[in-house]
Amino acid sequence: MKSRKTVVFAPLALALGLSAILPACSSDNKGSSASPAATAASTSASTAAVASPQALAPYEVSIVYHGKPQKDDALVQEKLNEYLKAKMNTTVLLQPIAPSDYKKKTELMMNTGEKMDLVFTASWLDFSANVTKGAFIELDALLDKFAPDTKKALHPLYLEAPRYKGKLYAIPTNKEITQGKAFTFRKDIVDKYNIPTDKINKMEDLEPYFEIIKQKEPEMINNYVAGGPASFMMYESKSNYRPIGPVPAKLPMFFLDYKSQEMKVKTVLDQDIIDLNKADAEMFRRYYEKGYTNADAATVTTNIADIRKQGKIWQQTTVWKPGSDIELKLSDNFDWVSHVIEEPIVTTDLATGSMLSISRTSKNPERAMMVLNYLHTDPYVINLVVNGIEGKHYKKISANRIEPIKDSGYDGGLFWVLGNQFLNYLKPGQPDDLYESWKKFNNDAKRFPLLGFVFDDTNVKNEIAQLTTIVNEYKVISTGAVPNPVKLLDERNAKLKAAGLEKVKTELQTQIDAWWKENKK
Amino acid sequence: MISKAYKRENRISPLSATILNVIFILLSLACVLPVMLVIIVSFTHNDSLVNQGYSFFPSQWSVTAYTTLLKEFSTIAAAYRVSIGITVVGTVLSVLLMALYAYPISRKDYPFRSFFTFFLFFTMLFNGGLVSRYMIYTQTLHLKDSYIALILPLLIVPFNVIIMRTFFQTTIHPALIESARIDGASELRIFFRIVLPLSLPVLATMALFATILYWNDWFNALLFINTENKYPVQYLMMRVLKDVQYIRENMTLVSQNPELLKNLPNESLQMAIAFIGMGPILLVYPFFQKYFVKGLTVGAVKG
Repeated sequence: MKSRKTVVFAPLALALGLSAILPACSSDNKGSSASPAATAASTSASTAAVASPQALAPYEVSIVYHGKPQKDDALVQEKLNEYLKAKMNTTVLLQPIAPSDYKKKTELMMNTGEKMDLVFTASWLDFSANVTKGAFIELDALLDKFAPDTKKALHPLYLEAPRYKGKLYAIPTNKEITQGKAFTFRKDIVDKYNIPTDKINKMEDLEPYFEIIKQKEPEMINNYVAGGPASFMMYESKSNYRPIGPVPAKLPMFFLDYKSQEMKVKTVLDQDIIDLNKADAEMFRRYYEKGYTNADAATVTTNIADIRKQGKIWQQTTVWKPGSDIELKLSDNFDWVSHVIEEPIVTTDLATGSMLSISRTSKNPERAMMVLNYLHTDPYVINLVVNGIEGKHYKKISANRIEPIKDSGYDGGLFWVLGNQFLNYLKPGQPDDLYESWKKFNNDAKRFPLLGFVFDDTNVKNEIAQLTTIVNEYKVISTGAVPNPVKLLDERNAKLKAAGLEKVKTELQTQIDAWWKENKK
Repeated sequence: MISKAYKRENRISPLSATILNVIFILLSLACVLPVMLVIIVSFTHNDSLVNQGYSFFPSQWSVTAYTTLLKEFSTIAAAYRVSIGITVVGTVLSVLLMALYAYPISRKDYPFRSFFTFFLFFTMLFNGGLVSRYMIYTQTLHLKDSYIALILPLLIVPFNVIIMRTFFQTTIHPALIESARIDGASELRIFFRIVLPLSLPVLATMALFATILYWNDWFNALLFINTENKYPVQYLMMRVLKDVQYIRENMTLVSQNPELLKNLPNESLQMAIAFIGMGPILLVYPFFQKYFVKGLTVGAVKG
């Protein structure tokens, strides 16, 4: 009797036990994820002979990118495959990942060695850390061989930035290479009160107009501040200091005088920066006390865009590129004029803001690079990916101008993510010469001396974590909503000092010196 | 009939009755009001949200959130189908499998009882973590982008199996099984014809747990699903919320790429999605509720 029971239940329970344990308990696999990293180098070396496109074996290139999955992704993919199949016997697998999940999900995919080919990456997605981990393969040879046109089309500064130990690991999206900083004003208000926008070069210059607007337009919020660092205008408009990225807690703590030839790191503990900080803190406090700043500045989280749409904002500090005033108008129907106050500088962060890499797990990096080349050089391909299918997702108005169809299932938000933006069709409101002015803007952009330098924070991780906490704790100083900001600043600086700011600075300086020695031309 | 004396003896004084009533009224308000607020906010005009914040009495009403949702009707309908599908299939399978695990380990005459109990218990203490889970599902089982990946991970909840085991142990008397066996019933017959019908309370409770678990699950969808029309409703909801939060936390990124803000759902839309997401579970709940207390009394003596 006993044996019969066992026969019935043992296999059953065993099977069940396994199914219970499968999802929960399988840590033994963890170790194996590291080993494929070693093979990364060998794959890139296999760039052997490639025959004519027709003779290529079929291959599916997966493209993992930062974008919300959309209803008609499959249709677009199908169209794309028709075309690429005929051209080079290749299909693509579009793998959009929602922005909020992107980092987590791609990191998981990289850590588990999942097969991917083209992967969207950026400085703000820990590009350099992933390169160090060996997640991407180096691209110099592939770029030269399979995408020479792409290389030609890209501004040379772009290919200087995404490098690690001199080797290229990503191909940036071709768009504006940098962004200037500007005060942006609503045109009707500027005209009504005769505000000389081109004379306003720093926050202080706005003060008299704040007073006027406060009197005459009581509904308006003069200086809208939400929570965090009130303004990025401080260093840009008052000094040659520029933050060295990446910056903890989005508040710059380390600076470099970009005009000086000596690569000397300054921190928030240096006297000139302290002076700047104090003056700014006092200014923000004054604005708050006079009621120019919104009263809930310290706690509010509402995005300025929502308030702008209601017509309550007449000036705002913005990052600027040609066409950004029109972007604002398209979103809220007011006319805007900008006065650029900072000369556009190409920094590592900006030049690596949107890129495609090839994953080490790619089984055919050559083909991935060929697809990338199509995204950069073929107007049909890139517009298909960005704008969707003609007649279904947009109407064509002229050779390079389209009108998107509303709620069509594909919304064209990918232009800054993939390929060559200069080949994108223009949308309503965008001027005909938009791309011309971008090219000019790119050519005029100034090179930050440290372009291409990336700080390796391995040795000072703890210090940076502590600094970040402190900075966050005192973020509210710059909103003006707390009394005695200068005293708080001193307090913060003392804490920063105790938390090892100097140590990070020394480390940064050492790395910069070494980098400079290697790269000095 | 209850005697007068009994009645008096058990009567609560008016004062305590009032206090108790007030406490329970407050408790129920604490449960109901947030839901009410969600519904009201979903009908609030965005302007009054920006000006007033959340309010039970908004100055302007609007149904924009719902008309926006209607435009996405096919996506939401697909998501609902997925959610309902995985919930129904998942619940049935999950209860069946958990019962099949719990029953043998509840039998004192099962020789490997302690081993399998420990085996189960062990998974509660240690788990392999995200990376290994992801690897198993995508690279060993190749379940990426399939519905199975939404069902399989939640099939067996060790703690619930232990509750079920305890229920079987305390409710089904061994003598019952023995007498069934004397009458010639096989093990399977005993299980399906005698044990399960007697265990309805615990089955219903577990079914409710499983339903809620499946209905609320978005994380597996985040990990394993890539196609827009295979996402369950909860993931869509979560994505909306997370996207908004992400934008708030990454204002520099946004100021460089203002179009990220273009299709950003406002708060009334978020609440509208939350509202349609909680609908079905509110409907299902009352049907399970009557079994609830009985099913959960772990180890109570049967009277």
